[in-house]
Amino acid sequence: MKRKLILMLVCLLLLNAARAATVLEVGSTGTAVKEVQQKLIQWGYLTGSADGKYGAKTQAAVQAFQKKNGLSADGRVGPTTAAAMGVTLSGNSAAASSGGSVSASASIISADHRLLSKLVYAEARGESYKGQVAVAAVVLNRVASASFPNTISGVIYQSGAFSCVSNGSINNTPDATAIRAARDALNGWDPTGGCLYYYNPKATSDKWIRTRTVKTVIGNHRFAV
Amino acid sequence: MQKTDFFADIRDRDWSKAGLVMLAMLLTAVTAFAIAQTRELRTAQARIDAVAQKAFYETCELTEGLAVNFRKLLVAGEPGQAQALLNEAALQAQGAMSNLALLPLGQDTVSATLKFINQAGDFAGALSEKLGNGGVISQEDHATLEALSETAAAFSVSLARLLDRYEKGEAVFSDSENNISDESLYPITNPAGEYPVLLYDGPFSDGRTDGEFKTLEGLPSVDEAQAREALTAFIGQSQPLEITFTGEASVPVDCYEYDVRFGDYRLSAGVTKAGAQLLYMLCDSEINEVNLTQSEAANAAEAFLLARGYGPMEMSYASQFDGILTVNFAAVQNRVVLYPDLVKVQVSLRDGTIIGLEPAGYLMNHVERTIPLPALTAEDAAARVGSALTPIDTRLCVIPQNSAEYLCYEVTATDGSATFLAYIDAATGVERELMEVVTDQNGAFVM
Repeated sequence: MKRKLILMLVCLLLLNAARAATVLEVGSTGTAVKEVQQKLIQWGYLTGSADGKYGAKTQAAVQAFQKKNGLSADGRVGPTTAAAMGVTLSGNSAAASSGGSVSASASIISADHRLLSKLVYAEARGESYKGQVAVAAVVLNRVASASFPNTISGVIYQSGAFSCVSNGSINNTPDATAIRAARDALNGWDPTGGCLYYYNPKATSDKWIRTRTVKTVIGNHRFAV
Repeated sequence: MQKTDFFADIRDRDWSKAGLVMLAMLLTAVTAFAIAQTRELRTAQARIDAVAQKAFYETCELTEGLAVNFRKLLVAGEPGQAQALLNEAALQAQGAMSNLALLPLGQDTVSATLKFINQAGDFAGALSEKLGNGGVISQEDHATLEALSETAAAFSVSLARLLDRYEKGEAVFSDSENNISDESLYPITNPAGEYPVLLYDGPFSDGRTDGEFKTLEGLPSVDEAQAREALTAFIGQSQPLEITFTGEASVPVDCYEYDVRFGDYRLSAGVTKAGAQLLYMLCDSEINEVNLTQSEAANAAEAFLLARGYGPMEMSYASQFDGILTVNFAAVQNRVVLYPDLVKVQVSLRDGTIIGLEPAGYLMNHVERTIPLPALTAEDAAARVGSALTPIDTRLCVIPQNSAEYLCYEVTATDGSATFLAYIDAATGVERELMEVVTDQNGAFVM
């Protein structure tokens, strides 16, 4: 399991498919959306006319199409769904590739990423960006270590491991910085260089943790192995 | 006067009576509330206790099962039977691990135990895979199984004793809130038996903490001023840089750390003492502006690496977060992609500035490889992917697996709806790994 995960983390990064993905989703507009709508109307998933605006109705129709065709029903038209529909996605119709300002709301990539973001927000908001990435990296280093559980959720919910789990602050909604920090850690950034522990010397009463070798200090946290 | 006094008296008595009644009502309400609260608290506590108890019982059951299966493995005749036992042992180890982690014993108390069970499970999984590929249980494997069986049995017994103490009402669990553990539990939760050193190598190693930085070996040590100079040159900005030295760290190699500011950007960076190499660079500032396309930004990243002397690299994957594009590169030697030698570069989509770098894979692994001639042709490899897949493209690459490297053909293939990457060992033809390419609006991923 451990090896699989490490390999997955490594492979997250390898892939030869560098083509920037175009995805149609709620908010997308243009000819590609129109084409999708026409297909959906033609097959009876959608009623009305193809107006080229991806709204809730189109989303529901796409979901119905995806369910029927054994695709994951996320209501968005990515390469797989587009292929199943026989639609070609062009580069300039997706919301993500248009110019101007973008938001982080859609940037949580998985359940693991969400949980890790919540932990970072609860444990390290107020720390520098580097301090936030470091906390996320410690979780991932634990996942990779034999002395800790093998999953991100296993590590975070390990009994007594993180105070934010006992006091409930892990349930707060993470901000964009925490989400980005978690993601950079998942991408391999580790300013702790493999540390398995961290503590705030002003806040901890745990004597045992002070016996660990400190490798670096970032903000209020000492990082140790 | 008298009259008033009389009335006042009555009023006072009324008030005091009313006051008493109210006080009584209040007391009743508070008592009722307190009882309800206590009951609720007790229910909640019981529910939490039940979770811990369930985890405790399950840990005991699974560890017992693990010990039994290892014992059976010592005498199993059929490879098929052995494989079934190994698979079950791997599952039992997995289950015991997740339950053990939930016990309120304190993480330092259980960490040695977790390690033992983790490695026992890994060993069982790897041995099962070996048998599945036509291998046999070697003498060495048998010795390992023997040691694992003894340790698992001893651990199972001490765990049963702990359960017995718990059943008798002894407080064996620590206060999870403070993570303070009872040191008297150490002998129980730390497997005493000596299991083979072999377990610490290969797939059972401690992960990424023990990596060496091969590219830094033998490089001369630099002082802080030289490191700062190297950092300035690396960032290569035309606008003035404000660099603050923040201290030294060992993450995991010795380095100097800096805060860097230029324009609107704030970065943190580490520079190695050995050879003044950039160890990491992170962007503190949020970027929400997008003026560049992903391919323009990726080109900027590629040009940057080339200019900084990283040698030939191939872009493998990119993903976007707000105004930041993270581009992954792998080194290339004689057109063979070296997947262990990774560099990740972050580009600001606002203006193409390089704002992040993660070269650990590259710094650890990038040395000249001796690449053997493949025994298989590309066609042979493509023919070995699953029958449900149609090969699209094939190329040679080196992948890391079990702390070793393997020359493989990376076969890009499709089943009609999704794209897969199959890694076929170029020497043996064994399929070493199979990945599904998952694409979303942020970029492509493999699972």
